[in-house]
Amino acid sequence: MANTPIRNPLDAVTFTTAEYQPDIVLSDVRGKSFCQLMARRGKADELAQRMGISTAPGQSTVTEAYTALPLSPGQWLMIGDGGRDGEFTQTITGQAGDAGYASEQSHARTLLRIQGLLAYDVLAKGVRLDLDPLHVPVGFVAQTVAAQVGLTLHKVDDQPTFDLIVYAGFAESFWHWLVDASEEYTVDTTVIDQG
Amino acid sequence: MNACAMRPAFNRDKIMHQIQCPWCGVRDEAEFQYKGDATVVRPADDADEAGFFRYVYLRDNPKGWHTEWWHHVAGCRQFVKVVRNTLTHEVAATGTPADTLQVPES
Amino acid sequence: MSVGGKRLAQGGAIDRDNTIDFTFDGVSYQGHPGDTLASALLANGVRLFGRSFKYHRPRGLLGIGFEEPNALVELRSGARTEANTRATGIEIFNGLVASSQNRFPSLGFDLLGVNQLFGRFFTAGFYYKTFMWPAAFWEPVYEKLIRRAAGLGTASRESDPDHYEHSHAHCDVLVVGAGPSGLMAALTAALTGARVMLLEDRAWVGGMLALEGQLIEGAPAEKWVDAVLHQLQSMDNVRVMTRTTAVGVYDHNVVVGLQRVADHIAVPGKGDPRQRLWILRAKQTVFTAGAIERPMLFGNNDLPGVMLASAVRGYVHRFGVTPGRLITIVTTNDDGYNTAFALHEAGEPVAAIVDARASAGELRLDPEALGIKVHRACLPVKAVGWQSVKGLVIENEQQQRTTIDCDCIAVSGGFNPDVNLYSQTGRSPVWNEAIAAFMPAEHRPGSQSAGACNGTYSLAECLSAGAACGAQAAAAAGFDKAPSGALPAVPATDTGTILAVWHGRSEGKVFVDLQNDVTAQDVTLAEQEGYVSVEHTKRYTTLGMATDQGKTSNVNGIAVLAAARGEAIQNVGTTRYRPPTVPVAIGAFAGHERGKNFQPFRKTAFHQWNVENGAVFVEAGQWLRARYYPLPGEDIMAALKREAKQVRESVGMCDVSTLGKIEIFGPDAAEFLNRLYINNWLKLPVGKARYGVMLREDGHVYDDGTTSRLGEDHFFMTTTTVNAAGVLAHMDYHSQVVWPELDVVFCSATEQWGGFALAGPNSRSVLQKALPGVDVSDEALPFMGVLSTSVDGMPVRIFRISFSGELAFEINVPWGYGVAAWERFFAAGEEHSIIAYGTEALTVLRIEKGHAAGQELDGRTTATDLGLGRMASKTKSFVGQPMSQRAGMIAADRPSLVGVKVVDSNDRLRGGAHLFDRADDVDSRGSMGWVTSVTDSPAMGRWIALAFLKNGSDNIGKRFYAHYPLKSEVVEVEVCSPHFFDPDGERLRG
Repeated sequence: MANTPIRNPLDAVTFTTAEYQPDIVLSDVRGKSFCQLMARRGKADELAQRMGISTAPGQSTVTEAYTALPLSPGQWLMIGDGGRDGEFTQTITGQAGDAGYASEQSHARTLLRIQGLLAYDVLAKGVRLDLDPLHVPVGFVAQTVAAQVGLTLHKVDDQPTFDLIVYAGFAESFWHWLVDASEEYTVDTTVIDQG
Repeated sequence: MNACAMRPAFNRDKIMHQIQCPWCGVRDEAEFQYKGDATVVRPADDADEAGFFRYVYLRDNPKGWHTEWWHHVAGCRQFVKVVRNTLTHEVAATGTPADTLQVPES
Repeated sequence: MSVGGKRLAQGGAIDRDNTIDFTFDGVSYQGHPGDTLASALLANGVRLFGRSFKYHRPRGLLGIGFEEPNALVELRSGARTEANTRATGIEIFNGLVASSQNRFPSLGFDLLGVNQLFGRFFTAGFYYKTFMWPAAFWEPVYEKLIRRAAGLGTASRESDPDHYEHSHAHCDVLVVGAGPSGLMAALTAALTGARVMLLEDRAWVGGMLALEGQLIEGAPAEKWVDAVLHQLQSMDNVRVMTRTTAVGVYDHNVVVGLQRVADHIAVPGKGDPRQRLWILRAKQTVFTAGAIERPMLFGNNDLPGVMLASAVRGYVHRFGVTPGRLITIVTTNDDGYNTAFALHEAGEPVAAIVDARASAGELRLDPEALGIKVHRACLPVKAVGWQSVKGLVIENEQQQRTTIDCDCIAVSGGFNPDVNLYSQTGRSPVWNEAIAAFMPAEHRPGSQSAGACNGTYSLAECLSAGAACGAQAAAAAGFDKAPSGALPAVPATDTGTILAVWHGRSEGKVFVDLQNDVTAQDVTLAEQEGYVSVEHTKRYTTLGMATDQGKTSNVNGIAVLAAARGEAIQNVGTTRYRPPTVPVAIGAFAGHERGKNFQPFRKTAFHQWNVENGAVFVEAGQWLRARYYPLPGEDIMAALKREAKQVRESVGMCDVSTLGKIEIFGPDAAEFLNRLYINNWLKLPVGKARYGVMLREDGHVYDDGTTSRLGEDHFFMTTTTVNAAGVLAHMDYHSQVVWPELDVVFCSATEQWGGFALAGPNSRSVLQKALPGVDVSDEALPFMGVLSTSVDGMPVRIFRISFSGELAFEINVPWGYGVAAWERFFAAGEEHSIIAYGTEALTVLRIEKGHAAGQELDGRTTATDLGLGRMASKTKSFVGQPMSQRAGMIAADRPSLVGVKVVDSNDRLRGGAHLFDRADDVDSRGSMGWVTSVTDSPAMGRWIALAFLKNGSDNIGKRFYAHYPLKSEVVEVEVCSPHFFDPDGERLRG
């Protein structure tokens, strides 16, 4: 029974709504469960098959139970709703069986989201990747760095929506960078609680 | 992985100030950390002191092509083998630790 | 006769219906939208723009673009003051404040102008010669003199209120320069579907087409320019960026562009940056940067009123301004005539054309039929006038001299292709006799030059070269759709011949470099003094340095040097161009990473509690760590002593979330650890922690920490805060490269778990109260035991480990539970007067206990030096083991870890002090060791320290002297065991 209160890395942040139609919406998406799924040596294909996910780099797999973002050969960041106190990780561990391991990351990662056509321009201020929609399809995943902070980037849809997953300790700092980078446009900042 | 696999050298005319990660694709050099000479191999545990001395301390300092490690630390965290020209910064080929990369003639 | 510039009755791409008010040197002027500061001042008859760098000679405008060496002004005022901006590139706005530089006290009357009377002291290398002796004068006297007399503009001492940004972009074809060649290249490449970026330094596109009246498709060229621009802007795959200068070309076709987002307005709009530095990654680059006209060398060629002929034409055509009332054209080529024709067509008189050649090529018009006198086969000797041009003395082949009255001399010594970017790619330009200029030779793969920057000057050829390069670049980038459409029709032109004229029969000072006041005589003298290499001549004379980097002076300087050496110009060669091509504000390079944004910050799981409870923070890398928690009125020493004392006497809590944490899985996980650490890991039972030490492969200690076995194939490693990232990389290397056969995987879990130490004799009591129903007795949770449990839905891991030497536990909870967990334990400790302690008290406690930390793990110490040698396994191999056995690494007299304490409890110790065995003569005797970590120990009642000392353990009990030369302190100390407090460890096992 979870009756101990949870703090979020962005608790100290003030969220604001623009006076008119925003160009950019920045969100702190809370309540997701994360784990890092890692295949044992030589078992990446077997693990991917068990989990129903792709081994291809740079492309997410979305199932009913989770979203899998490839991080490195045989490793994925698994995102779901199965419980942030280890329950999701246990489920994934069970499914992985002998083919891999899952490290609990629900609290380690913070999911920030940027939406709106001008998201490309905001991200270009830090992200060195070529995010041109002609080159980058929905589902694109990359680990990269922006504003000196490492992040996992996932293109969720064509609005576009980008999920930016950072380590919790950096979340507030990175959020401030996102807000600063959006400052020349009208921007809404919101919390989305999916817990 | 096949230790003798030859990865095709990617077109030198088309690369950027970037490194072709075998897994992630072409990425900015800022995502990588230079990790030194990739031609030295850790000797067996029971090798003599001279062998380890060579592994730890002795490096060629080639003017021209050099095979080196670039750790894709802000990306997939893989060690990438890179054949780079120390004079022109051209990159002739990249691969995984298991790959044997052809070094162009200087 | 009135002299100086004026606005023409008509013409120019300016908005004559609106006016803009601005000031220059405190005087109010008016201009029009579309004016630059240079054109507006010319229109107002201003001729004097500044004083020269060395001789303080009056200087006027020379050019019309970023080549301008003279008209450097200080822009804006207060915190937004910007020095050394080129008047030719400043778009005026209402309220613009500009002032001239290098004048003292005023521009018209300059006291330092007498410098030119002492010109012989200011020859080549004058800094080196004049300010040599005595050396004691270098800083206090000479530097101040030089800075006062010879500086350019003055920087503001206030912080820049604007912000700057970086932005990244990718394209297939990057075209630099939007003149006819660039427009054509961009259009051709864009039509193949390639992603194209077109950069233009100016606010408008068209290059030379916007500066002179050419015809394309039978209409003024501007129409074609507008049509192409419109077409490019309507294409999704094209980005046209004006006010953007390519400042550098780097390896792999990375081009850095400086976009002046808000330089043309008084204050940037809300949220807008002042400038944006673009990092552009192109598959192919096409340089279409144009050419820069070359001044000519004759006496007093720096007088205000001497201008580039193409610039004069440009002011007339683009801005509807003539720089003079009676203009003489001096040329070595046909292009100079076009300036005469432009003036004539604008209804302005031309004093004469002076052509160095005996005959011109095929000209558009016949000058003599227009009533313009042409002096053929004549060379300029000197300009006459004091503050500005009043006439020009020329000489014919028979050495007969003629003086032409005029107030402006428009000179054309030929055109230099702008090879700056080409040169930056690492290739050398080569001399081309036909155009008498350096031009690109073989390009670096992935880049090309087209048009004037490639030595192609006729419009028809520029258009076709641009189209060809654009198509080629697109094809090389993978877009090989054949370009369609014919080239626009332009009148056939013949660019004619050029006579390379360098230093003729001049009289008086002949300036090669106007910005640095370098004369032809200086270059010749430098050669005589042995500075024959062009790179040396540059440094010795300062030719081609400073803000313009010799855009108008380099080639003339090289020619003069070549003449002095008696060699061909191609044998002298050019200096290497380096980025940036134009001055860039430091703010633009810094971008967002300035002030509080210099680097990201990283907050621990307990940050909010720390803030609310008065913690003073310290930056540890990017982490914000609680350093101490002062009570009202307490200073740092009082706070840290109180905190440390309370831990020893009762109980305290310390945020240790910053320790690196790595989860390791796999059947070979234990074997992997066994190879990384010096001690044994194979037999560590599940549920137990162990302290481990890692070496680098060179045998020195790298890192330490405790690692716990949570399952048969599941370990949880901790690292020091500083090495968290490094250890993970170290593990990546060994698992991927050295032992790829090991079945082990791992990842960072640093931010999954917030951690705090609960330390002190009452810690178990607090733990028990915070976790009712959990057996935390010594039997259930012995020293180095690990327990996973949960309380009120919160997962908790308890590690019975101690850094303080007290009975202690490290509690880990998932990050988001951090504050709740902290509050829970803190409340449970209330009855024991629990306190929070910071990194300072943590340091006190660990020094008292003799635990090595960062100051001791400095990369030069071995495990044995640190007293950890016995941990090292003799039955296995591990990273660093072979090299740790080298003779020097195991030498008996290596400095090893000891404790030292002051003999007199009133003395203090300082980190970095060196240890000597005698109090006297500490200067000449060799140091026997050094002090690493010091503290005023509450437990010991005096200053104590950890130190490294030769033959350390043999010296225990002996007296040494800690010498700290920075404060001239010599303190007597006694050497002791580093385990000052509770050496047998009874407390932590209690």
